[in-house]
Amino acid sequence: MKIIGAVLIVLSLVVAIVPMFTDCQSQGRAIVLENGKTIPMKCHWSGVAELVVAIPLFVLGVMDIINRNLLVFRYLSILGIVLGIFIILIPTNLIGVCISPEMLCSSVMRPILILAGIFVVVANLAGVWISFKSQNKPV
Amino acid sequence: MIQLEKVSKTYWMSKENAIHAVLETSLEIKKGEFLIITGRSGSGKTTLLNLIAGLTRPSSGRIFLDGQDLWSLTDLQQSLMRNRKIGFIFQFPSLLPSLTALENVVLPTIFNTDHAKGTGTPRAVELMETVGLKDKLNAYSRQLSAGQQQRVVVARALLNQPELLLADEPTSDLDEQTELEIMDMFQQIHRASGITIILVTHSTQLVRYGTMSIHMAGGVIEKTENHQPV
Amino acid sequence: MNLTRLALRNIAGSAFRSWVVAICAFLVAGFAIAILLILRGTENSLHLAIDRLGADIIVVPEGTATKVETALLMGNPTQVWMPRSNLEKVSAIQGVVAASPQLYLSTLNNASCCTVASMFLVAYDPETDFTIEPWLNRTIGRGLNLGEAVGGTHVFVPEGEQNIKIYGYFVTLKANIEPTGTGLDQSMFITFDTARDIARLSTKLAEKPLIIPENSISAVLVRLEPGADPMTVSADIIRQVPGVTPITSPNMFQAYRQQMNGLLASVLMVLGITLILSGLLIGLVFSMAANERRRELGVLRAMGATRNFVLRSLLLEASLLALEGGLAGISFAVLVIFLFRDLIMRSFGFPFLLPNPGLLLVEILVGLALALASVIIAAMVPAYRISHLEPALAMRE
Repeated sequence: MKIIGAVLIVLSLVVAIVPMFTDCQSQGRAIVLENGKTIPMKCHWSGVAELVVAIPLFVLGVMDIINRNLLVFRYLSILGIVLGIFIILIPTNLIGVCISPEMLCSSVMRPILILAGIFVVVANLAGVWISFKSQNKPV
Repeated sequence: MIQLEKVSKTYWMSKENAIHAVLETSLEIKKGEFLIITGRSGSGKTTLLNLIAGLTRPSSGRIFLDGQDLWSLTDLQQSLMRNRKIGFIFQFPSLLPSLTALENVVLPTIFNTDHAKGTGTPRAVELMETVGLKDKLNAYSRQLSAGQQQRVVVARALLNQPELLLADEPTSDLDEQTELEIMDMFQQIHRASGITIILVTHSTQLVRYGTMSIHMAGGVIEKTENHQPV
Repeated sequence: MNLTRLALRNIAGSAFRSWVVAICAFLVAGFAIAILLILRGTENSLHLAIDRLGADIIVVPEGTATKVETALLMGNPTQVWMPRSNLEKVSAIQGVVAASPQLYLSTLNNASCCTVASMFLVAYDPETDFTIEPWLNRTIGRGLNLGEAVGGTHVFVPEGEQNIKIYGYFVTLKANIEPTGTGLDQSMFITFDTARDIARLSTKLAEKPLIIPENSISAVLVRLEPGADPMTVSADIIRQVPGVTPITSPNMFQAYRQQMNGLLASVLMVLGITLILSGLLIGLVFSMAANERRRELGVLRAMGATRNFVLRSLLLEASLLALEGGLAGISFAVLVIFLFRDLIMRSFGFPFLLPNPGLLLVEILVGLALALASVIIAAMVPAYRISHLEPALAMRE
């Protein structure tokens, strides 16, 4: 349980921090309107959304570490799976990033987020499995 | 049932240095006998047991089990024979640590396809009951005491209803009380089924449990005795 | 309880050994399939690009072959020029059945369609073209009109707009070419007329004007007679048309091929080293484990297990671990390559395309087979040794 918790904490940090350095705004690109105002592109909003998901994931990781109850662990893991799915959907279907493959947000930020999301889902699936297996441990 | 004809087992430590674990020994053991082999460490008693079971090849001489020359058989034939006819109880803890007690007892069934799937389990449960461990079916060896482990080993040895039970210092790791319990169990099994038992021990006090005893020293049989068991 | 379950229990029972073998299999399989995917994907890409270009020979100004190939492969625009008169000279050469000129241009740095900063723009002559027009006729039933364009798969119209703005000029995107994995995916094709129109109006509409030098072309695409030898025709071109370099279709992207071969050699070496080290590590770990379990295996023999059974049991354990680690390694490698394809392409400077599912499955099986084979071979020696040990000897302290 503790290991999964630690893994989730690390992943939540990745999900929160990576967009800050790889979205178009950090690369100095944004859409400038005719009146001079700068509006951030989709990738920026994806990054914000990922931060919003990363925070509960971080808390979940901490809870995994301090928790001792198997049933609680199972439910936490199920929640973790949902969070992981959102991490994957945000930069792909829900909000998205810039389409050009040349942009860092497309070639680096999105793949890293998808990969992190997959790891989150897999880690929590493992957690669910462990919670069932431990329950059936023999005397 | 068992005949040894001038059997020797020699280990060569170097070209000139040979150790004669067993030297030109002949022995006949009848069916239903409860033989106790005594002797100090290095007297060759364990080697003798291994020779009888076919677990080691004699340097010279022949060994017959039920009239069959053990070493005229192929590996497959020998293994089948061991599986069906011989039950072995070792000196060291011999349960597989990754299996539960019940799974350990059932283990001999996977080596020959005589058993239809799953027929081993009911008998295994029965045997566990016989040795008094009905409530420890799902325990792992690390969760059992030394005495309990040996009892599981006995149950495993009896799974295939063997004709011959070989026990190599089965009580050496146990305290006196447990030792007596295990020896009583052997006696009960002997009386109930008439199975042939050969038991090796360094304790001469246990000789009284058997119908026959031999004392080994320096690789040869020094003394043979027949008696009524207590 | 059977052989398989026993093997599974044994694996579960010794975490360290299982992890080491599984990780080795993970590395071998993951590496193998990564290499397979990238190398085959590159070949695939190159072939598709060559097919799409549709020419047997591309004639470019002398010394610009690499620049042009880079433009086509990676989409980095280039501008090269040679006299228009070369077109007639090339057409006159024996073996040439069709010759069509092209202009290589590029868009400005902040093209509003947001795909790429500076997009490779190819202008072709509809009268003589034999690659794009036929495809267009098949796809939209006609050629391009003035102000229309065909884009590679990554070219699109920005949200909320109808057209793509180039140099202040609005171009209608009529169709997209299928993906090639190369720079063609980020290129746009327009007719000569549209190009000239853009150039004319760009002086007023754009920050910087588009300049097409008078009487100049960038390249001539050549189609040969059936049976004509590209090398012979190339030699003729070099002799009769000064100042040009003919790039023959089989030799196209030769610079890249050589780069790939160089990369291939070093990568194969790394794979080879990984295999050997893996094999040694697994052999060592299995040796240690087999030794540790010597007694246990002796007990199995005493219970009636044949030598063969013990051997099979050990190899089964190794195989299961290899499959487990191998599958994980392959999944990870495929995932990473799939997700990070753009980054990989840009970092290494060559294109590659992912294979279709059927081919991918074959490559996965190859990677898995390699992992399985390497683990089994490594485990074979210690497993054989232990299984053929005399049981009494095995059980000795």
